[in-house]
Amino acid sequence: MRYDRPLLDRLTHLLLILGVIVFGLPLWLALTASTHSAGALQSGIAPLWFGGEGLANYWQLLSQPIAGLGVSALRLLANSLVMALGIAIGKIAISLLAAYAIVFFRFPCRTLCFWLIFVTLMLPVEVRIVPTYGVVARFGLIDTYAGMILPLIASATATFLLRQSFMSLPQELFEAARLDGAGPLRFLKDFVLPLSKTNLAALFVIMFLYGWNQYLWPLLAANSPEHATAVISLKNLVQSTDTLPPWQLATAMAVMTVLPPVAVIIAMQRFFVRGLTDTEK
Amino acid sequence: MTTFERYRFTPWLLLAPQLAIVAVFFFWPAADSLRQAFYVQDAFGLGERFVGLANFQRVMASSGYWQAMSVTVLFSVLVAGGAMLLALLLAVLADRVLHGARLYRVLLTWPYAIAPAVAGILWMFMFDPVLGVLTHVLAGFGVHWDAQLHPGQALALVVIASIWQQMSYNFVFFLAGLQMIPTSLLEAAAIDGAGPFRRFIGITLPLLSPTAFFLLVMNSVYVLFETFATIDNTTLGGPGGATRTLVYKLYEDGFVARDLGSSSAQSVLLMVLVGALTFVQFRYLERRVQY
Amino acid sequence: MATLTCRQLSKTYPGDHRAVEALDLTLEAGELMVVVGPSGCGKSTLLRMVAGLEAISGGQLIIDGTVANALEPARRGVAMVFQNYALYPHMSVFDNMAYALKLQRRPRAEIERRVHEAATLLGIDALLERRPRHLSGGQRQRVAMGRAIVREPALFLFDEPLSNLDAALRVQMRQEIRRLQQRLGASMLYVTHDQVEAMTLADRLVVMREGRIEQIGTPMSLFEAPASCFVARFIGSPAMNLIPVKRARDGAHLCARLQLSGDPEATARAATLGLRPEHLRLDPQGELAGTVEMIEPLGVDALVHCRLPEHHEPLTARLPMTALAASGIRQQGAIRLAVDGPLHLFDDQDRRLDHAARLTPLPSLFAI
Repeated sequence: MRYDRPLLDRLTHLLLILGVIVFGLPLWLALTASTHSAGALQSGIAPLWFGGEGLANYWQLLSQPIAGLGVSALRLLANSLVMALGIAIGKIAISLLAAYAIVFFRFPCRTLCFWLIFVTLMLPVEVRIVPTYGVVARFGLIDTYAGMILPLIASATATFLLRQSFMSLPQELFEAARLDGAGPLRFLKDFVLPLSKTNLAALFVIMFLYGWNQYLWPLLAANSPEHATAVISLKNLVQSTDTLPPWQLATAMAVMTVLPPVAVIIAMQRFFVRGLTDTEK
Repeated sequence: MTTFERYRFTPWLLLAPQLAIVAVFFFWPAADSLRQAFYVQDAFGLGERFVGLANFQRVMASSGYWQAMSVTVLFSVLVAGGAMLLALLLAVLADRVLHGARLYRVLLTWPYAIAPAVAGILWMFMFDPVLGVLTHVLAGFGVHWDAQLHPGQALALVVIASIWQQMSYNFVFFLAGLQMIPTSLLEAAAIDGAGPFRRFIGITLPLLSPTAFFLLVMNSVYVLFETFATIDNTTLGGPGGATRTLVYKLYEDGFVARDLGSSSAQSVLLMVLVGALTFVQFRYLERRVQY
Repeated sequence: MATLTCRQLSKTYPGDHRAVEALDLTLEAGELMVVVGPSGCGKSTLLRMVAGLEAISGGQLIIDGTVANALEPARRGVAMVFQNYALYPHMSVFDNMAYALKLQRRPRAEIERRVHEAATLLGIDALLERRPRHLSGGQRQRVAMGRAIVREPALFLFDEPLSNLDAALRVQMRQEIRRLQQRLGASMLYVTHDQVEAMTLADRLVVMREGRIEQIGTPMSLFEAPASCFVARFIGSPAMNLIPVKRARDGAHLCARLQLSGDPEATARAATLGLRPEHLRLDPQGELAGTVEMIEPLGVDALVHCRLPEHHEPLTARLPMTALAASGIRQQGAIRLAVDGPLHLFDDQDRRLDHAARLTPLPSLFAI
């Protein structure tokens, strides 16, 4: 139902552009602030345009240990990457196998297994944060990548999406493949994986963002700076001193922290939208 | 439905990794929470003693818990309301445009990629008492802004940061919902004589109501859990507990004050709350089949 | 080329729903056997049990002398053509056809040769590099058959393979399947609900109803001597007229003035009389008098639906258009028809009575 209403069309674009500007403003200001020197920032209102200290600020973060942390931003970003990839790949891998078992096999307690996994769906790690810390500590996994990753994998969102996706594969395809002689692993490799490519990509985007942006759990599980992630390090820059925070560094760190997930979301927009609307339904 | 029914061992092998991880990192801690909620540890952490419902009574009787509860509820209402209204408006606009729709979608969804912690920092910078752009704008209106001192301003800060972040999530869903409404319905209404506004009120909105309900629950869950990071990077729950949500309090009691009994009881209450939300969500989703 | 034997083959679903009950069947080598019946009669379940896609609840399934009940589907030497073709969407036509051979670890050269042979046979050699979604319905159908042929199976299974094609293509593919079967000399078990397809394709026809076999025989034997009212109704188009026989003190009547005479056994037990529409002709002296309710012209012939006095069931006759035009018969007018073919008699259990009988008009003097 669209009519030619030039005025309304122009108003629509105007409002949308306004929305885009308002939503972009916080990141824009961080970007501009990160290119000024500390002194320039302290002299008044945050600048709306770029300064000349950008390279210096970013280089300082990437090459030198951050005060109060002792590791460079490079290390923090690398840790974030390991954690995000670990969560995305780990979660997809175990969920893929579990969903495959639930959809394509019949075995005793199948429904029970399904429900055991289902229960985890809506209860994030935050509700059981204290005992989870206890369990991870008992295994000696505090300050390890495994300890940062495993508790965040223990949830069913991916299993659910994949189960839905597998159940929508035509039954006759499965039967034809069996008549052609495909066993369980063959069928997984030759049919389920290639036919679920889009869903797996969508799931990867969502899980990567989820992993990269985690806060509370890595805050606890990564005690030492060697394992700290970019997201949890920001607090050190902003609230380390009683004096004015070094905003030129904080904003530069924020920009670097934001860059990888924003790049992923823009590059994989199609998968992102699909993944989001699928995982949550 | 035919399956690999002859394979008895394979499905267990396939399920083993997920079942093991869920058992160790979900059921074990959850059971621990449940158990701890009925015990009290002595001052030196050496022994513990069964106290029945005393932990729950203690939590329920403390004014701090109810303050956190009301902060959480207010926070949820503000974020859900604000983020959903904004998202609906922008989604309707984006659904209307013919040219550049994809570009608008990208430019309005990217904030989803930003960690709540970073969202908090970015807005704190905008509201910085000394050099914040918005602080200066507000000063022009005669408002003295310092979120460190004013409870209301502290809450406003985390609410705005959360709305900014959550809007893009709602936007994606509203846009998907709008695009799923069959054009024939709107055309039928137009032939019946309904103008654009009537069509929106009479057809679009009711058909979006399942999406809206779903988002209401998801926004509440977001406020419950994800805003921890926003708060911990900006207001630290203060001033005076004005921004201390249920999860923030749980964290403070468990890791700062080391009160295991109380934090476990809070964990259990939180699980019940989220369980109830999930249940309501599913009941509603079942009913919406009529659409 | 293989034989297939089912002995007391049964399928029971949870809740004691019996899809197939104690079914006995033998398919000879090189035979095309068509299983036909309404939906839910168990014909697909039978086919899927033979394929190994459905567990067998009871009885024996013997393929080429070996009990195959517990064999994996791929080890039974059967190939199946599915209703929706079930082509692998992410593979080219070549890979679709080669997949089973690849799993059997055949040498590359042999796979190439066999795929190309089958493709040539079906006239799809030009399509080998395409993906299924770029094929038309008829082409997909051919690829599905090609996939089966490549495996050189002992037994072909067809599950309503033509039901997704339009009418013209269906006729063409029907003939092609028949030609192919004769050329390969293959054993085929073919399931359909379309009786025309069944009649034209089958060496032998199996009519199923509620999990049991109603009748097995050549298409013509089923057409000429249906074992039950059910088969009579199912085989032949338009369907056979089935008219209840009325009993009176002086014997069996069709109408008041039309008596059933002949073998005393037959007249004593007949409950239903069957008349093929093709076996009625216009005759001013004919024994059947009725009124015309509707005329459906088909081209050369027309279907004339009449009503006999005292009967609710319509009587349908297939009459040449020319004769109809010459007679001046029109809707709502009177019509007289003569029986020009065999009468089929069925008892009160709807079973066939194999006795000769005829319709004898009573002199109007004795009219009641």
